[in-house]
Amino acid sequence: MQTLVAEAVASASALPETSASAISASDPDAELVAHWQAGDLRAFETLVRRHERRVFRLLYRMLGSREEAEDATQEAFLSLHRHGHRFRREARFSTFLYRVAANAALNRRRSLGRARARVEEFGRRHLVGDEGPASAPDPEATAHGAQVQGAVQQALLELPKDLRMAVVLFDIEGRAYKEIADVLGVPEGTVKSRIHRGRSALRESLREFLERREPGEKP
Amino acid sequence: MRTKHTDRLALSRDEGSRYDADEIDAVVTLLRSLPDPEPSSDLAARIMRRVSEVEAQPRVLRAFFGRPWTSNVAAALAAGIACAVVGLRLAPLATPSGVVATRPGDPHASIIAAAGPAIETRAAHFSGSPPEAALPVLPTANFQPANLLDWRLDMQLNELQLDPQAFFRRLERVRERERFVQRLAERAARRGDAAQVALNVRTVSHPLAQPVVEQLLHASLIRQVSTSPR
Repeated sequence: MQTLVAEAVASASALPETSASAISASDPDAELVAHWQAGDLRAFETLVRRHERRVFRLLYRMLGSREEAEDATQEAFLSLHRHGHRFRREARFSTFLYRVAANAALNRRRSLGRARARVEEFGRRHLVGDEGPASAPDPEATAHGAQVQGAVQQALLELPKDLRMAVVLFDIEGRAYKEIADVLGVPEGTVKSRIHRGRSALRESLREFLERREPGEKP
Repeated sequence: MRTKHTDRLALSRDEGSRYDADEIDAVVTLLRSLPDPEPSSDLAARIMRRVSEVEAQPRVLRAFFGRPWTSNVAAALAAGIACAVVGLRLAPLATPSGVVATRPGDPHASIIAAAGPAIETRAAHFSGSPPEAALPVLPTANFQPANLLDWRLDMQLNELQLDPQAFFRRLERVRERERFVQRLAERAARRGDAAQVALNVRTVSHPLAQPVVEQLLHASLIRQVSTSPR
C-alpha cells in the first residue's frame, strides 16, 4: 500500500499540461490540502469526510464487497496521509486520490477461490434482495431489479481489473477520458480501448438480459 | 469532420451496427442503473482513529511496518516474542543429535539434568537438514534487548535471515530506508553478529541486498575499531 502514493505521485508528476499553480487555483480542495500538509489533522479529516463516499464507491465497484471496500478505503486514506507531503499539487487532489484508490483496488491480492466465492455470494444476495442498496421498496420490482443489478455487478466483477476500472470510472462515475488517463497513468487512447473492450465483454455476459428487451426498450 | 454524432449517423445506416450500438447503450444504461452503495456512517471516524494510531507510533516503525500496530497485533507480537525468547534460551541446550549440551555455569543445565532423559528435537528426524552453518544466526542466550526498539530490530534481523525476500520486499516500501538499515546494522554490530548476518544475506538476489550487506559490514568494522584496545 505504501507504494500506492509513490506511484500516484510519479504519475501525477508526469502531467505536463497544466501548471501546479493553475490547478491549485481551480482545485476546491487546495486550501484543505495546504492545511493538512502543514500538519493540521482536522483538515485531513475534512478531506476524508468530503471524499470517503467517492473512494468507497469506486472500491466497492472494483472489489464487490462492502467489507473489503471499507478496508481498502481505510488503507487508501492511511497511505495518503502517510505520504501526503509528497503530493505537489500538479494534479487536482481528487484525481490524485482516485489514483491512490485505483491502485488500492488494482493491487489488492486475493485468491481466486475467495474471489469466486465472493462473486457467487454477491449474486446470491442480490437474488434474494438483501444487498442493501439494491433493495427497492416495491417487492415486485425488487425481484426483477435486484436480479438484473446482481447480474450486472457480477458481470462487472468478472471483467479483468484494468477493463473494470476504466468502465467503472467512465460509465458509473462519469469521469472524463482525460481524468481517467491521469488516474490510471495510461494514454487516453488506451482508456477508450479499455472502455470499449469492457463494455463488449459486459454485453456478452449480460446477453440474457439484453435479449429480453423489445427493440428500442431500455433495460 | 468526424464527431460522435456523425459516427452515430454512419452506424445507424447499417442494421447490424445499429443493433450493436443499441446493445452497448443498453449495457451502459444497466451500469448507470446500479444503486450507489453507502459506506458505514462511522467509516470516516474509523479512518481518523487509525490515522491517530499511526501518528502515535515512532517514525521508523511507522515507515517500516506501513500500518498501525493495533493492540491485537501488539499483543500477539508480544506473546510471540516471549515464546521466541524462552525457546531461544532453551534451544542451545538441545542439539539435533538429542544430546543435551550445557555450558559451564549455565543455570539451565541443572533444570535439564533434573528433567531426566535428553530432549530430542524434531531436527533429529531429518537426515537432510541443512548444515548448522547455513542456518540464520538467531539471538541466543545472550539475547537481552536493552529496550523495545532493540527488540524489534532483532526481530527484523531474524526476518532478514529467515525470509530475506519478504524482508526486502517490505524494505522497498520504507521511505527512510537508509536510516532504518543503518540502525539495523548498528544493532547487529552491537550484538556482535553483523558480519555473520552479512554473510548469510550476501547471496540473496535482490537489488537491496548489496547495500544492506555493505552497511552490515561497515557497522561491524566500525564496531571492531571502536572497541579494539589501542
